[in-house]
Amino acid sequence: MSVTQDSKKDKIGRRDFLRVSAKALAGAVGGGAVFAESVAQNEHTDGTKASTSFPTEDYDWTEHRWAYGIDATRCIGCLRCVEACKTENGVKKDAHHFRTWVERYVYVEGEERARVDSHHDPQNIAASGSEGEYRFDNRYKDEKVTKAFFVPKMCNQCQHPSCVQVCPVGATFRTEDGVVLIDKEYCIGCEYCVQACPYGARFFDEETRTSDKCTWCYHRITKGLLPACVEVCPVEARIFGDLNDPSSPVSKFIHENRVHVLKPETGNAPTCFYVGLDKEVS
Amino acid sequence: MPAHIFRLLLLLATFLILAVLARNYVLDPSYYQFGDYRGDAVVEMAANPAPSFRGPDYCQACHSQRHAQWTAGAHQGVKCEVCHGAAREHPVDGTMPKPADTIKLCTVCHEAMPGRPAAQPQIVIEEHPVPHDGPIQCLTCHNPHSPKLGGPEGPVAPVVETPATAVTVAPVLMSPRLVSLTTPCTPCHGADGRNAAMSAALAGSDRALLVRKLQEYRSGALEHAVMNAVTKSLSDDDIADLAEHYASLPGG
Repeated sequence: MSVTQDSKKDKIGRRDFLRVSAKALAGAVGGGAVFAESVAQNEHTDGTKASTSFPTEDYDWTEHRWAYGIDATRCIGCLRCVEACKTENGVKKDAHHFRTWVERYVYVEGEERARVDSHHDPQNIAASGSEGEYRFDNRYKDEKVTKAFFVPKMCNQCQHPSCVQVCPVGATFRTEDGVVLIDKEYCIGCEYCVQACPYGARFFDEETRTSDKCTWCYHRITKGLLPACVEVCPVEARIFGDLNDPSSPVSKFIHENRVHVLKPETGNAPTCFYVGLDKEVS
Repeated sequence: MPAHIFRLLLLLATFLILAVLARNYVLDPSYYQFGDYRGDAVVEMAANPAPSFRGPDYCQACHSQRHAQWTAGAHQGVKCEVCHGAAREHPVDGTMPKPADTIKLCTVCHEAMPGRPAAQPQIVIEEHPVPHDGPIQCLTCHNPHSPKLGGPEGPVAPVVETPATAVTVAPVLMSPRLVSLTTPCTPCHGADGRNAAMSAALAGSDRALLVRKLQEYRSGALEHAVMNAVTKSLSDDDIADLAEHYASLPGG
């Protein structure tokens, strides 16, 4: 490199080169300033998040802080939530694409670990009759069961979501009211988020070539309705509401119970709160 | 400035301007509106799709009779759409499918299964104390909107919703003995004996015919799983009183 090896003999030194380059760059940016105006306005140079109120008339997302409660001691494993979610959100009606699911944990006498199954287990599909219907078969009715319970699961709408962290295109994000959403227009289908989620809450939709997951029925909660799974739960095992409202069902649920979150060690800080988890549930 | 440096700078500047132009052209205007994502995406997801599940209030607007029965019964926590499916735009966009196989539907929640909380009413299907030889639909005895037999409402026949113009039947005053006698009959035949939707309409039938039929069910000469069981313990007097009662009711 002649510039570094013999700067004195060159007509232009390294410092001069850098100085001229910097000026040229500044000029070029100045030229492009007209086009870059809109970008510059929204750039967060001070490190804070731009937060304007939600741009619809009837809903202000800064007023809400949604949260979800799951009482596993009430769940009867009827899977109406799984079916309702698919109907409401147009999720493919097969056993392997789902936004929410229910796990059955069964401790059979003499065994140390729980046996776990969910609606997509082949025996359960056979019991329901088709992949578009959902039910648990009664395979343990003649076994000696020491303990058994159901655990509904879904996206935990984390406060520090790993899926958002890894998205390379800004297609997934957390809203001001506390829901992690996927922008299907920006998603490039790299599935990095599917890998990153510690809860396995995301799946890949082969038809749209995008990732998909629970939105807490964002189209319903912003209209004052409950998520479809909460709406159909016959035993109130699923609870939903606004943490900003101390009298909401979910606030009461959290205040009146000792609640847990799944995998707290990940630091994801879920906003799905559980009652009745057991040592093997994660 | 040497020519090769100038050309280098020119190239740099061109790239920079192209990059800024491209970014400006490709980037959605609503990007960065709220954060590092497309602001319009939130608005779109809040707007669509239209909710499919409408809630019991939506159903009540037309089905007030059933709604009232349901809110008084043991199924009050189980909303309409749990069993009937999403209402969507019903009735504008079509009729609601009636749950056909109630054995399958009801046992989704009520089949005895390890893992279900003790508070959940559960049955062992094979041992369920229903008088039958083979499987019969749960609806034969249970009113899905108020399923408890002998509950606060008593056994309630499924409501057959009648047009507003239909003639209303004056309530018949019954002796306590007759009330207890007719208790097993009403879930299927209706309190007014006119429920032909589920079974035979009894109101206004010939008294002698009713007596003969009941006797034949009792002896087993006529075979019917439910009728054989409910007539088994009837005396001749009971049969005569029942026949008299249903024969005296105004027919449909």
